[in-house]
Amino acid sequence: VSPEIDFHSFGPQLAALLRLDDEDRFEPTVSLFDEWALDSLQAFEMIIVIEAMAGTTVPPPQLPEIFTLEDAYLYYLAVRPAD
Amino acid sequence: MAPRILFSVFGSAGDLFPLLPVIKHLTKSGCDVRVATSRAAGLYTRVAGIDTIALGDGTDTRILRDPVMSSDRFDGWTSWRHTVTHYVLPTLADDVRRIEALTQDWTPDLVVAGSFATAARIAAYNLDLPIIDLSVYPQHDFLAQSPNVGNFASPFRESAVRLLRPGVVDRVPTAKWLWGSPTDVLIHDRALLGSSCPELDPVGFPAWNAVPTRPDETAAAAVFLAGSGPSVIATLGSFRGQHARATWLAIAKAAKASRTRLLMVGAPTRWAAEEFAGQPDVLAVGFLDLSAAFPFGEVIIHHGGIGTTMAALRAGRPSVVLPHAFDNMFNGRLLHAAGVGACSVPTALTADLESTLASSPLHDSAARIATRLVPTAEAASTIAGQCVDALESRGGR
Repeated sequence: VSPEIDFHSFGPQLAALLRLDDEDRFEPTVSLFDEWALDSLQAFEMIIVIEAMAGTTVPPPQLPEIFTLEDAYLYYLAVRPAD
Repeated sequence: MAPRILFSVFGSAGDLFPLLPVIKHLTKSGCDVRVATSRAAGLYTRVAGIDTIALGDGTDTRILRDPVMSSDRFDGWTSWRHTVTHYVLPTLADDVRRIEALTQDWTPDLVVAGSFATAARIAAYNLDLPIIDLSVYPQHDFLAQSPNVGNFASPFRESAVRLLRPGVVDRVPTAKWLWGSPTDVLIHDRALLGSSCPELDPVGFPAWNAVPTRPDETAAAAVFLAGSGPSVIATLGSFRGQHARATWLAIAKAAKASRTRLLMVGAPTRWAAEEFAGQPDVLAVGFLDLSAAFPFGEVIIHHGGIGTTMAALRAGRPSVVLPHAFDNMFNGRLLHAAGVGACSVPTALTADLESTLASSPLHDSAARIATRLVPTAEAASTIAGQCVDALESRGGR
């Protein structure tokens, strides 16, 4: 299991993996749709990216509801396998 | 106990989507269905509420950014070879183990495997589970006919064979256990195949449109398509469009030269909003129900993936295809041969789009062929029926 990423590092890594190279808003309350301007396809891709960052081996059957960067980080923590 | 069916698919939306109406049909009939698939495809099955087992490690999403993959060499076979050796093979042993472990608690009565679902196929042969192969690629049956089948993607075959139980290779031909060729069920449509592959018997291509759209994007697309002036709709397939900015620019240039409005489905919207700022004749959205949108496009510009190809046909609209890899070139040729599309390249796109827009025969043929396609419900029912027949004839419950 890879080391846990803290919230401070999570946002920039997620933005880079989603190719949002000029994004610099990483507060917990940042809206991924209104401020990061993710479209539906990118929101879909984000779930794969977060699960890959977390090293999830068994994804949950239900898709998460993610609206803010904090939601994204909480999902990352939730699907991260135990050490 | 309800019959248990394990579907396994590895590939793009075009590989998975036609199976979703079949799975829904079987589930409604009382079957207990699970799907083992790559993480990217698994997102769609999770959206559809289908029990999903994740295969691979998620690196398959890199396929879309892999420059080697973007190749029309050997009519797409280079990209298929690269797929299996670089994206299927690295996790193949783990995937076989994962499926074999699943069967300890939930033994399927039937395994239904798509073309690249080699792990499920190996597990089924190892455990003596009944299996049927489905394919959306008529051209893959050439593998079964080739005496040189072992030479194609040989590193993949040589590693995969070591995962098979002794004895299987002696009784099952290589192309069958490795690729599922010749296929048991060909998911395609004779109306498009025409006289190609006359020995094959396609059952039709079920459509699946329940993609995870966003209401604001759908509404914006509807308003745009209802605007004045002809529109063309362009899509380069799920996810790949996010990485194809040069192609989008070529498409936008061609639409502008042709004096048509352009709806770009699957383009990176944030980039597009900046690139086409102040141009109300261009709109980019993420997911969109293509079956609802395509009838409003005069012409559909797309990459030639089989799912999009069939959606354009169902809408009765001519296509201009910008082939990228895999089956794109084959499908582009089929559309051209059927008189319902043109195969193009970015440098010739403006001329090809203008001639397609102006061609009454192309529009007439496209409208006619739409009426000859096997309806989705009929195709899904036929495929589900073949699964049930396999269950019964191969000793399932």
